[in-house]
Amino acid sequence: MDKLFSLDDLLIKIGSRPERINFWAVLVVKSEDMIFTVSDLEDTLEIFIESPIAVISGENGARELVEKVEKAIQEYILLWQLEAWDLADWHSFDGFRSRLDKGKKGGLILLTEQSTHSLMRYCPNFASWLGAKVFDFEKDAELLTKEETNLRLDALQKWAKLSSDQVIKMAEKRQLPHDPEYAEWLILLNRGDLLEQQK
Amino acid sequence: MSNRNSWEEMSIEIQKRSVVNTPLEIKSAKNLRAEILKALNIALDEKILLTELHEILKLLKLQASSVIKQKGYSEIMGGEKNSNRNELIPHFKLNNGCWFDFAITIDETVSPAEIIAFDFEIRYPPEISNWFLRFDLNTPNHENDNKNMRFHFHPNNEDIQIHSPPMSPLEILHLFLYGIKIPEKQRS
Repeated sequence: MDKLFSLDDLLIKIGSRPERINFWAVLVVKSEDMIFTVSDLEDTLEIFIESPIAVISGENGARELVEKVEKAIQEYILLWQLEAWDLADWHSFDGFRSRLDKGKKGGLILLTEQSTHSLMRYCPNFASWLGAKVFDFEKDAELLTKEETNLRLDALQKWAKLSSDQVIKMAEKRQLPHDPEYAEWLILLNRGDLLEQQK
Repeated sequence: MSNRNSWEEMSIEIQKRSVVNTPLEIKSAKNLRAEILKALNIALDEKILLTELHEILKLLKLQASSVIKQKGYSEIMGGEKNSNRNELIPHFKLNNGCWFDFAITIDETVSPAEIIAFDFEIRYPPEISNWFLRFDLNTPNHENDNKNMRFHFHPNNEDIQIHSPPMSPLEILHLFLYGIKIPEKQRS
């Protein structure tokens, strides 16, 4: 398995050579993070690739998935939902490797740890073709850490000479000033509900 | 058109023109953050930006506060909060010595998502002068919209506010990266 890859790492890696996106890689994602990861990638990858991307589900088996890939007009493709595949699907997928390798198309195959093992075990040709392009996804690397959040809250308290409690009380009374810093403050306190009340 | 009331009326009109024409609707906070990351990465490749890639990734952060399920308000932060203009606080640095930071608030409870506030500030290198330029978009206020100055800039003075041209955060970022020069006279 390659090192941890965040969303930013992926964007920079793929976007640094948008003219050469015709390679496939596997992104190993926790099952509970899968939907959000697909949505985040869909939202951001096209900015770096500079063309639309296709998201194709494998829920109806390997044959249908490969047919959809071949029909897709987009050159960059996200494949996901391969978790319910049986042995026959994985063997078929291995046989389809050369069909994925045609033309300019490339993309990411999003798998859980379990389905990555299945791919490695039952798709030897595919696994050897992928080589080292298997990345373990690091979720939420772009989010502030607790320490960074506290640092920012300290800076805001010094700037306004107010405590976070005072800011919350002011927001509850709809007396919060409209400077952008106060909106940021409420978000850092995870009190977006109070911003909603200001509407 | 020479009295105070006239200026206030004009101010309302100017603000309306400015805010209505500012592109504030976006696909999502993550999408905008990716656009910003791309712009910073290109500026780094062009050697306009001196901040290294690993520092860019450390400075460009996102925070969310959900209101309804996964939808809520998000903050994109570029650089640490720096209200005292302390050069030791992490920020983005340009090859001409200018340095900047920013923060953007996004409402994702509505569709399409909307930028509702931001602040962008750029400063000259301290060895040249204390000059700064800051753009502020305040949160909406349906009563008087912040004395008709919701979207304004500070031209090197905290107490002076001028209506901003209708620039999106990405356009302001590009202004900072490519449009702010230090006159030779000032350098010498």
